[in-house]
Amino acid sequence: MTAINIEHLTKDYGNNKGIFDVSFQIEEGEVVGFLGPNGAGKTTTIRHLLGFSKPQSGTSAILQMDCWNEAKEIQQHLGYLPAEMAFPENMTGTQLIEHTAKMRGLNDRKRAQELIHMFNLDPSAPIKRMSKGMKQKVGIVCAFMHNPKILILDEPTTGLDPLMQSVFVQLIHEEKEKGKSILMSSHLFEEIEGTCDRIAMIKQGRIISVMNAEEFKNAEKTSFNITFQNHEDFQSFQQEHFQISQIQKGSLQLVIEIEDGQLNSLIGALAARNVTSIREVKYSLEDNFMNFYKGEH
Amino acid sequence: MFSKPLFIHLIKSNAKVFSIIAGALTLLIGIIMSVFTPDTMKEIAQTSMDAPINPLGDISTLVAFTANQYFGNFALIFAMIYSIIIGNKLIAEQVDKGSMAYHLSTPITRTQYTLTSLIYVVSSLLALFILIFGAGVGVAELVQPGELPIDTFFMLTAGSFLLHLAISSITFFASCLFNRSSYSLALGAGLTVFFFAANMLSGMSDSLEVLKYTTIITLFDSEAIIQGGDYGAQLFILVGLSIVLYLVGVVVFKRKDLPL
Repeated sequence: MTAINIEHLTKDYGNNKGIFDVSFQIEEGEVVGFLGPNGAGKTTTIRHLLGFSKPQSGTSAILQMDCWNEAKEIQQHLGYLPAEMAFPENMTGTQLIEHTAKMRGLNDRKRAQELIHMFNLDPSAPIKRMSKGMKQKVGIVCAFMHNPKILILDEPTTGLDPLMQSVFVQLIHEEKEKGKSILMSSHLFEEIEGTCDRIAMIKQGRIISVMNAEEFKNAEKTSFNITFQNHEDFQSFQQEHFQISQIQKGSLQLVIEIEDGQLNSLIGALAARNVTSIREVKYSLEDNFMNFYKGEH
Repeated sequence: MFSKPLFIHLIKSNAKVFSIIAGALTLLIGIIMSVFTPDTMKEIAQTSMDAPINPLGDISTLVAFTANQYFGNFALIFAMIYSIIIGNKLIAEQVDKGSMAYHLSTPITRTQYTLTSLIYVVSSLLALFILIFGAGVGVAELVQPGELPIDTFFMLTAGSFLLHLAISSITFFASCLFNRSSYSLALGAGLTVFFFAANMLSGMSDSLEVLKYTTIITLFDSEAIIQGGDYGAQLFILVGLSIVLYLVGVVVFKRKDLPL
């Protein structure tokens, strides 16, 4: 069954702002990253999924329910973590979590306690006094406490320290194993790279690419950063038929991109020369991302 | 259509504003009922006899004084402030600050949210005027038994409640209409303050009397209530206005895009 189904969703705010003909699907049990720079339309798309905005044309549905007309029913199965967490004023974290549980008609506080423990959170302080990271943790507890089937997380690790970020990644893996469907928006590559099955990229309100995790993890090409001992070897190596993507003359360094089949000829070419170091450059989503955004930022 | 946990949340989160306003108004009615005994009234009437204009209006009886000074002044201003603050806070401020996203990400429809808020505003205003009525009658009976005509005082309280119901419907409607606190206040508070000013000016000189048709405050005709004149139709207009504005507000909020 399709967990989230967005079809030809369009909302034009004028001046080329908004989203245009956005379509993508998230199957049950799938984790999808939603990537794009600020102002690309991530939050606008999420607004429609939560029923805050009415589509100009096209539809968005969660669990086959229309996001605009059946927002209440959808909320039973949805956990939402907004990018900018704004809570009602004058409450402590504990009161807020309790209020959220009551609004959801939730009697079981076991999951909430687990999450509080997991993120090492002390929710007894007034929310006004909390740091950004603490507020984010309260938001995470509120979004996950009712064991929702679908999770929509807008830049979820904002404000969390690296330790808590890895706890969060672990939480996503756990939820994924339970079969949850997750849409996670971000402008950070690391946040998405390790957790997502697929990645949808959005630019200027249009989806420009949807790819599988395998596609960018096992890219056919591998990059190596090679440093030579002397200038002659550095120069002569450039005559060989390798695809060179970067040259740094001063430090006698260059970066080459080769297909796995070329590996033997590379070793052969390097064996005849004096090499100081050779390192593999991890091909990351970031490079891919940059390719899409180059010059248009 | 009604959410009990949300209602309880609204009572808690607005308890401070409510208790300040309710406390001040209860105290004031208590003071008026205990200080203005027939003897004091006579004294004041005598001293102000020589003055060219009587700033206190009709003060010949306790109930007339209450109508002019309390319901025409203190209660009017305080309850207006309450309506302006609460009306803006319940909807527009939540949207402006973004916490509406939190409320709406629980299983609740927008209509449930606005209707529960509406019920909170109406019932808190009702509680406010019940407190005023109770305190007024209680203190008057204790200090000067028999001096306060309770049925007239009841009608004054009820009329004043209906006026403030209408004012709150204006601020609530403005709050539903706009996504920004500043716009909501500009319309809600702006209109309310205009009504207040027009009401004051219309009483000052004959040439400004025409202003009384531009304000809804004159629809609460305390003079007619005291003298047994016709006041029912005007109060009925206030009720009608309240119902229309409240319901239109709910519908507008249900249909609009929220920048959350």
